[in-house]
Amino acid sequence: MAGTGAFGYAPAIALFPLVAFVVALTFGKYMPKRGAIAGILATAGSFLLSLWLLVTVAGGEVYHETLYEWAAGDVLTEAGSNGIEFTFGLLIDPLSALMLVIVSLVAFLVHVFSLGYMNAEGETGLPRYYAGLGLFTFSMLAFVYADNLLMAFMFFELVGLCSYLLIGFWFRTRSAPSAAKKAFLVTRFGDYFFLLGVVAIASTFGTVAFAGENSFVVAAETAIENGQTLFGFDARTWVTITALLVLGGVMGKSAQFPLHTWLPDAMEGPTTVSALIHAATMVAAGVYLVARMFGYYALSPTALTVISFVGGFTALFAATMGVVKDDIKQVLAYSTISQYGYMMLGLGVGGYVAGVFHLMNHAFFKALLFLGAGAVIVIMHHEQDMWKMGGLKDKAPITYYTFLAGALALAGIIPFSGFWSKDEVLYDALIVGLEQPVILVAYAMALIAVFFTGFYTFRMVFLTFHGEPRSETAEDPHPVGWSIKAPLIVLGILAVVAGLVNLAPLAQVLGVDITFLEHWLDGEFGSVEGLTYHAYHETVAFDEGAIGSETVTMLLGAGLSLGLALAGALTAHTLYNVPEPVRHKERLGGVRRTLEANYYQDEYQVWIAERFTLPVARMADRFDQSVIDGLVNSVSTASLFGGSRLKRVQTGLVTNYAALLVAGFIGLLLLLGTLGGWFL
Amino acid sequence: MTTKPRLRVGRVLLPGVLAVGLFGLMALIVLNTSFGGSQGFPESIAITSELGYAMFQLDELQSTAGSIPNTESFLAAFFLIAVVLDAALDGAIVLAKREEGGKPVVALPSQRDDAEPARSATGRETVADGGSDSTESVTTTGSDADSATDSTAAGNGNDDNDGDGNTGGDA
Amino acid sequence: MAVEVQYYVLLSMALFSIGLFGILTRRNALLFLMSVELMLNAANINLIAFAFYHGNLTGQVFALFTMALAAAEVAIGLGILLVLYRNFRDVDVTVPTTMRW
Repeated sequence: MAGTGAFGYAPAIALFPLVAFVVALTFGKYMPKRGAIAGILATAGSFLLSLWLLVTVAGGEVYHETLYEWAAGDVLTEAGSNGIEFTFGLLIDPLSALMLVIVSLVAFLVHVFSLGYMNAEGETGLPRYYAGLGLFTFSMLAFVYADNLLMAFMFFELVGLCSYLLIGFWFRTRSAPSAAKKAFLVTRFGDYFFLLGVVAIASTFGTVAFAGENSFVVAAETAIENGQTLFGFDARTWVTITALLVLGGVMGKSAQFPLHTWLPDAMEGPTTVSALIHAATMVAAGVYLVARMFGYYALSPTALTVISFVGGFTALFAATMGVVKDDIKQVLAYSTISQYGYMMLGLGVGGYVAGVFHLMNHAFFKALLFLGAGAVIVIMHHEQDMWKMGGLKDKAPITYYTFLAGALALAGIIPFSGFWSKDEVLYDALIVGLEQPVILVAYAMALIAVFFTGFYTFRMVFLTFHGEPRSETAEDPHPVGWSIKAPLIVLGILAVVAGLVNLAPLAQVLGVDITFLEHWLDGEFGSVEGLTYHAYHETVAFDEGAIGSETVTMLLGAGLSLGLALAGALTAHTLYNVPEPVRHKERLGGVRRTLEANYYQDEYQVWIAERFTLPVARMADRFDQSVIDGLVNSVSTASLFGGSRLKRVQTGLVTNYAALLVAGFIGLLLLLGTLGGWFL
Repeated sequence: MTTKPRLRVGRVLLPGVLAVGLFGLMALIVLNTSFGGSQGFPESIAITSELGYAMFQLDELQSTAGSIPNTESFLAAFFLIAVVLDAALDGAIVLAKREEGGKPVVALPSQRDDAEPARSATGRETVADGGSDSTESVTTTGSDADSATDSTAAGNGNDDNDGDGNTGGDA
Repeated sequence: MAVEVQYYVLLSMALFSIGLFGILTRRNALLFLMSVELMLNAANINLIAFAFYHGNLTGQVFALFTMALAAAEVAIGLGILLVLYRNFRDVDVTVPTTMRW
């Protein structure tokens, strides 16, 4: 079963962190760094193996293997295939190999950073923390190279569980457990639809595999070609329905509107955990799932439109909320929601490469920003309010410059990585949007969001690092060690250079072939059949337009987004890059209140829960208590009563028993005699 | 207390109607059945000896000429019945045996042989069990009788209050 | 001249019914035992009658076995009766009804 060479070791990538989880949980208390060493070694091992895999995949090999089959059955499915198998298997193609590297790298850096952030700060419960990180990494890695939807779903759920455990790490506070519960419940709400989608896909096509001849993608394609009717729907409609069901899980995990409310609250967890959640694991899982089964979504233009519209809307929606936040982590949280909106938009318009590219860049710069924020928090003695910071630029230069690199990437300023990927997303959206009004609206929203992104990013940078120190702690910062600085430097470099892997605009203008990521995902180095950008691109049924020529459109789009980003940054510069910044948001009036209340999203969700779900649940409970329980109870009462009556037959007198026997015998004789004619 | 069998009339006879009814029914059925003539046994054979042969599986001795066909041998059944009878006898003894204070009551106890060893071996425990030691108390000396009745009165084996009496008896 | 087999059967049934009558009307356990004995012997008559009817000795052998079993039954029955008497100071079957439920 096991593959050869690097692929034979592929399971170990996920298993290393699992071992670290067990070790940290069992022996963490007795280990010098409370389990940190185990986690660091495990994630380092995973990272190295992932790199090896990446190199192997670059050498033209891919790996798609079923490792374990845990259930199989015969069933005639709706689409007409026989039998279904539920398996654990690995699918290592360019996409998952790339993602493996990202996840394991970020996890490794987060582990290292934790040494400085958690250990050095004298936290208690560290074995639990490192065990949680290990399990988190394990689930995400296993999710990334899952080769079928059900396995992906399982680890998707496990990722949700781990986020619950880690967000609620400081369970003695009041807010952390509540935030953990909220994260769990909101994502679970989305996962409910995901589960429905998995079941629907399995029962329709009889397979849940992502790739190969027997994948549900191929089956769906065939069904649409043959014009089959599935569950009373046209095949394409049914594909849309199931795709949207799965999308429910994606929207929960990737914090897309309206299921985004858990993410800002998840800031209650340790900052390192936030970095892991936002950059590489939990939130990325949703978008990664869309990329993973992109072939399926590509079959349904409706689903794609929904994705892109939700993405565009979320991008703008979250960006506006980020503008008024005072907590450095809150700003980052809303930027994450917004950025994932971009990825969804990119995938939704068929820009598979753009979406994945942005996912990769975002992983690096968001991890960098969160770890930078973590460093700032350490420097500030666990103060998170930006208004109490200021002037940290000179006190902590390494943190500042790396943070600045991340901020530039986030804002999308040329030539940092975020610019290239965001521009590609927007370009893909634009060319489709020229033909599709709905997507044009999504594009417009995303474009406006660029301005807000630039604004809030630099508002955050200026408030934190520039100006005069606004509190005593800001004047007397806490020193940070190498374990904090090293990950920042690594990620800082990546944030700057990661964009180089796909310089699409330059390639267009200069006519040179430097879109490496596109080639990578297009299978030029080798890929699993059907999982290439080209295959997807042919399936997606969107027409593409252009203003003038392609190059002009591209330059126009890039110029527009860059201009807006710079405008946002400059606005922030004018307003906040002064020695004594003031709270300009006071001038916003009613808008400010709406924004600070996050558009009353929490309120209406609580309202729904209290006014709608609770009464329904109460009614169901009453029904259960009265009708169901009443039925059961009456059955037992009836049989008890009947039993108490019937036992009177048992008098204990032999004579009565004998009389009954004889009477029965006489009755039997009479019956048989009458039937058999014995009396004639 | 049931004494002399006497046919009581009235409601107790009501179940008896069932028996009579059953007889009537079965008689009706039997009289309506034509059995035909009996096959009977050959004149020349002694049935009793044949029974014995069959029961003890003495196949060689069974008569052949004009014999009764299909008589199986019943040795195993005979043996089983023997075992059952034996078990029934043992069961009857077990059921009929009367124990008082964990000791079987002997119908005609030999006073001199039984009493002393039994007393020294189990006397104390017997008393401690709380059973009445009436048979023994008759046979033993005054102090022992005293202790036995005392223990009985004290109830369940709490004979500490009369320790000296018992020790005397054991010695 | 042999007697018709149905008269044997009638006799056996009469005997059985008499035994049954005893069981149904009496309260004395000793009389119960006797009635049961009557019923067993009714079965014996049937066995022997049909052994003659079929010209086969097996029925006769079984009658012998039934007698042996009847002896065993009586032995146990008397034992139970003794215990009954010892516990209730009576052999009335209507008294020991405590084991029903």
